[in-house]
Amino acid sequence: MKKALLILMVLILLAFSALAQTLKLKDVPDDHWAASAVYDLVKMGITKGYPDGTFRGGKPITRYETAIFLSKLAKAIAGEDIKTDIKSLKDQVLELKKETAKGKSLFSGNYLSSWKAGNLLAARGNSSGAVGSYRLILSSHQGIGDAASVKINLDTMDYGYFDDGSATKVGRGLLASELLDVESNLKLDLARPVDLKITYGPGPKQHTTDPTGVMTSEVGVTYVRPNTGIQISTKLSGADISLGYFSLQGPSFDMSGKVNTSQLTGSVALNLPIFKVALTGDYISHGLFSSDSRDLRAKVDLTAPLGEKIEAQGTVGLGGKEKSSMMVSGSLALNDLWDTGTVAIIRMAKIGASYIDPAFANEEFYFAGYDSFNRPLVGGTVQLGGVLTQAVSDKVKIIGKGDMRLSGDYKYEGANARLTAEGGISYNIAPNANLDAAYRVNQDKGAGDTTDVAALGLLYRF
Amino acid sequence: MKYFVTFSLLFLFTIPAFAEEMYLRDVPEGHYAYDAVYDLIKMGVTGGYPDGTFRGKNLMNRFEIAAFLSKFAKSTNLDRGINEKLVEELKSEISLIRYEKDKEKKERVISGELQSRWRNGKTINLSGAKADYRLKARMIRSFGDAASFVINLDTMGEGFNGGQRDLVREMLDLEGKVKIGSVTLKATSGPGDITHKDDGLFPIENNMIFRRPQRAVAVSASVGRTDFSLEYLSRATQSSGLIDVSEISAKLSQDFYPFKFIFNPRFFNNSNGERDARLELTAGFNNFSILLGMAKGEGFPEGLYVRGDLAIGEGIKMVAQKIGTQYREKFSYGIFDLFDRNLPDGSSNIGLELNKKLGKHWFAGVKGDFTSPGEIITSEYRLGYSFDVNSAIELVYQTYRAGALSDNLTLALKLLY
Repeated sequence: MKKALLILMVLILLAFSALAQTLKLKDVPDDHWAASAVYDLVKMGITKGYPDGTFRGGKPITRYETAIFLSKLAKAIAGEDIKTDIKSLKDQVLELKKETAKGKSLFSGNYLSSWKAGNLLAARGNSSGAVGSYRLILSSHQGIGDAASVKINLDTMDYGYFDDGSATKVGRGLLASELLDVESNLKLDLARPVDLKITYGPGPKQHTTDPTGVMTSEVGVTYVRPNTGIQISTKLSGADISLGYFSLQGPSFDMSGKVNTSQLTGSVALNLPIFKVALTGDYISHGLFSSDSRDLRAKVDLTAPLGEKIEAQGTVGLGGKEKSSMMVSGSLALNDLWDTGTVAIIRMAKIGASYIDPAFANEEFYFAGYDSFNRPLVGGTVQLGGVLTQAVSDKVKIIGKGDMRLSGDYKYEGANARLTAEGGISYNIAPNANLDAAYRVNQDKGAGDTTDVAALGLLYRF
Repeated sequence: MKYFVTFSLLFLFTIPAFAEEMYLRDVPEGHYAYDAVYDLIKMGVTGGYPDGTFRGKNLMNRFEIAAFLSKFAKSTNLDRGINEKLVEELKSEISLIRYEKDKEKKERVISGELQSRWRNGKTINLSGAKADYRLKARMIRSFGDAASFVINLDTMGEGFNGGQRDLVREMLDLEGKVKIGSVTLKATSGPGDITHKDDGLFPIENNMIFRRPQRAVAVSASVGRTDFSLEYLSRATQSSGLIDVSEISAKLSQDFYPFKFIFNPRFFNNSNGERDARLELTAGFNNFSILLGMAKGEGFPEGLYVRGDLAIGEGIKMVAQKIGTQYREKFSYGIFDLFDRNLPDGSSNIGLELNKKLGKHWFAGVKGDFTSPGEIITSEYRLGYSFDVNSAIELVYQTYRAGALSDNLTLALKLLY
């Protein structure tokens, strides 16, 4: 067995031996009984015989000579050939992994095809109607070395067949100035690591009108997109510090790129034992910096994870010294607290009538936050809302959403009184696709009407 | 060498008693056989004599050689085994990465077509040249067989034609597909039929329609030779975005080779609550098929549509169709001639298309179309040279007679990527 093994190994070596030399030993003629064995060893480079060209095969061997033979043989057998193989294979693996990592950055995003029928229970002379639309979000993320990355997003927002009625090009989704946003990140290794982020984007875009007349609850829905600006952030003795400068466009979007309103913002976030506190200060002015119209604001955010499944969050915002320029809001998130597949978020907020500075009403429209339907909260109101998600099975979820907007003195009356409630079911039909159905009722006391929407959506993530 | 040391170290751990404290008095560092002797010790082939000497100058007898070789074989066997296992592991890792990469490639594909044209047109009172392009780009992302997603961009006639088309609503179209067992669910978002308007030089192309996907959702299933599909699509949209005309189309096709039958009722309704229905029946035999369409509530033959299609081999295609004067009186949609122009109700149309490969690179084609009333005659002669499967150059001459005669000559370069 051992002999067979050795022969086998020797044969393998023979096949691979690149350093084969045709060395002839004087005292080992080709017809000698040991000739093939001796020349095998010669081919493997284990011996060359004595310098005078003899092998002296009849001479006894010393232990040293044996040790040298065997040690050389061991190296030959353990195989430089195999080791070269291993090395080249390892190189190949590394190369392939590199390529794969490169290829991964191509595209990701989602595509939502939705069909909505509005005013099904049409009342007060409203007519009913349906809308078929799509929204595509396409993202491409590319790392440049370890320190820099570029992210390009395309978001068609509400332009997928929505028409604001204007026949002009504005309002038809301009590629470069509305649909695309670009974010570049750079890690700078200064005295401490500093992250630099530069974004170009249209800022939050609001669906402001409803020419269809049947989707009134969609008015105000905002697509959260980045503002154009620059932000630097770093860590300083446990605190996250960031400073940014942004150009605020507001809904009256200036395609020329002119900076009409600037925002200088700074924030400090601290991780304290029980909660996290973030202080943000903003200085907003018209133009590049103007002294005649400006707004100084401050905000305190407190976040407290009360255990693994509960999180409480509170915000106090100051838009000025008066009580009417303040806002308070709080939310409580219960993440499957009872192990029943129930996720609940409850939110409430009270916003002072002039929390959003009237001089900057367009630019600050989203400063008080959003409701459950991504509509911005407005000044002089009290907002109560929440989202309840109940998993029925691995693939099916029931989702309930509601929002109630009261007047500043907690009454459901007046121009701002509005109630929106939505119930829906989400079915995960394939790992990358969801089928959603929802029904929404919207009562708007200001407009004096009640409308409803039934929606069916197919969402593909890719 | 590095690997050898690594593996030797491995043995150091497996045979600690021998290796760690082994020191042979008579083999000092620098001795000519020093490396060889300690290699063998590491391999476990020898440990020297019990008194800590190697006695290298002693001669060996056959027993000693046998003992060395036996231990040596075991050690190298193990050594080689480990290396071979490593090779196998690396090889399988490589093939796994390759497989996943190929899969990834198959799952994400960007392809498309670029057509650039230089053309000269002549009408009775106008002549001139134009250069334009049409770009079609397609990105496919599939998730195994279960789901796929496609984004298409098509510049249609907009490569230098005034640039009025809108990206989101007109140039892009999207398609998402999900398969659940034998049922396929498909959602498309697209502009539907887009009508090309010519500025006068190429009247042949005025009102030509780019047939793009509609906004639609469709469920289809196939069982054996029976295919069934149910589709809801938006045919027209009001300026506000509201769906004006929608269609529900149910299609049942049954294949009894060489016969094939399709039963296709289509229901239409608009935002004013008006409804209409059409029934289209198709019977096919080999390469010949005949379609009969009937509009609800219209008389005979005003509400009738007949169309015959015949294909002979790869190269010959014939179409003849007659549309009743009231077939699409309500809820109009496109019925096309060979040049993708809509035929009005009450017209008769015949078309013939011949394509021929002339050798390895050259190809030629003739296309003719006659529509009555109006006695519109359109013809096209095409001679092309394909460099390879992905690129071709074509010379196209078209004539168009609708009262007055006009013609144009086009040189087109087509690239597939």
